[in-house]
Amino acid sequence: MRNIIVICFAILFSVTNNLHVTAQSKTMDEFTVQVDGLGCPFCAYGLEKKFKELKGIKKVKIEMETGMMNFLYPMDKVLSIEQVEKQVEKAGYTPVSVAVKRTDGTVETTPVAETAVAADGEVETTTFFVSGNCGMCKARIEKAAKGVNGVQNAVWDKKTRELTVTFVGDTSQSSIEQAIAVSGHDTKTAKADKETYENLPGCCQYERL
Amino acid sequence: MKNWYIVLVVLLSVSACEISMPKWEETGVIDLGDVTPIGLAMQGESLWIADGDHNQIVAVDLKGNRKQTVADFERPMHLAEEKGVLYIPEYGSDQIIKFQDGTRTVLEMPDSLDAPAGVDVVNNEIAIADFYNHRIVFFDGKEWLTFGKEGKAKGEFYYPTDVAIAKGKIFVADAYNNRIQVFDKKGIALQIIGEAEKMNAATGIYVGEEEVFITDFENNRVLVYDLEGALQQIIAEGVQKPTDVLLEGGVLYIANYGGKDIRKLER
Repeated sequence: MRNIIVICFAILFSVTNNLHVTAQSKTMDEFTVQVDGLGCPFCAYGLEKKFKELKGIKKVKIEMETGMMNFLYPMDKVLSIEQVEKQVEKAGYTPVSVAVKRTDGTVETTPVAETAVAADGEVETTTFFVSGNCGMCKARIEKAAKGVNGVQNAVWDKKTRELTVTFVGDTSQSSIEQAIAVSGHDTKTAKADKETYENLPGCCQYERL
Repeated sequence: MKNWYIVLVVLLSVSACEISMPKWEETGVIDLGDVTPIGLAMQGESLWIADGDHNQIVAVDLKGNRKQTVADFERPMHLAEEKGVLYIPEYGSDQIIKFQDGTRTVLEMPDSLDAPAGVDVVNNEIAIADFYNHRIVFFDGKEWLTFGKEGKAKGEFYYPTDVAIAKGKIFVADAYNNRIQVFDKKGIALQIIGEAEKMNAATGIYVGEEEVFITDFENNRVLVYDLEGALQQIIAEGVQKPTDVLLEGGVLYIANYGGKDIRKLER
């Protein structure tokens, strides 16, 4: 008899819990964000903490190993993918992709970047110095370089602080360096402005050249 | 003349002692499996580990066997232990949790914290590294006081992550100013240590009888200074993104966040 009562309670709890989850999922959009550069726990926990400050947000969770962040947000506030990306960048991180499952079942994802049109000309590879400190810097620097039209690949080495970049067509090293400076990182010929530098997270504030 | 001989012998002896001061050498590794250690504290024969990534604290015995796991913390950080009570700064909830015999209570404070990253408790004194407020909150046994503000100058902080009360002073891991700062108990800045070593995120600190230990997170090393701030040793072998250091019973424990283990060193 006692077992039956326990089972009844378990079923009741399960049903109630499911109803609660279902009710919540009917009013909350489900976001999944892939973030790059979560190497430093002190900063990564800060990202989670800063998202928790958004009014109405629920169940914020970051998996350090995978860089995946999940959260629920009220559907009536209609949080866009662009707003999420900006919030991640504001905290100093680099969003890789954002996906949201709306309450009506539709799924939105970060637009896939258009494949660069194959440009005429030789493929060039060059290496130059870029200031930075950590994994978060690495993600930001590489994204800035890859955002330049014609750049095929970019890899920054944290130890040597050298960026190796492959590009084609009319792309120039100076345009890549300029894009990196705009993201907040000094090269020997292009300097980030003071405000951008000071807005970098603490762990990214390298010793300026 | 005899006195001069005595002075010479004494000087030579002191010099010999300094030269022959044994270095810390690795004697063992505690593999933590999937636990990522942030903070360490010893309680009897248990080494408590704050696993910030997984919102739990884990106790292992001195051979590394897991004894206890306690879940549902909000990003636990640098721990402290005093008189059977484990003090757990919760970065995510802005609280210091007192954990004793399975019971949790919240440390009552007159002021609010923003991401407490480290705590130390000695006798009746409590010091807290208040990360986002760029300050130290200190209870001197009678009243609370705060010191420091965001900045790079002496006495200012840029994201402090850990703190140690020792030798009548307060030592702070001034993480992203990449240095150690030393204060008196009124909050007056006395000394800066470690600037010459070009640290990259000074995240965890421990002060022993003769030495100050600091974890240099991004450079994968632990730096050892004497109490005057002179560099004594750089420990780098096997160290991967260290977050905390603890000296107990002659054994130096390094929380190896990147390697998911604890390195044990002895002299």
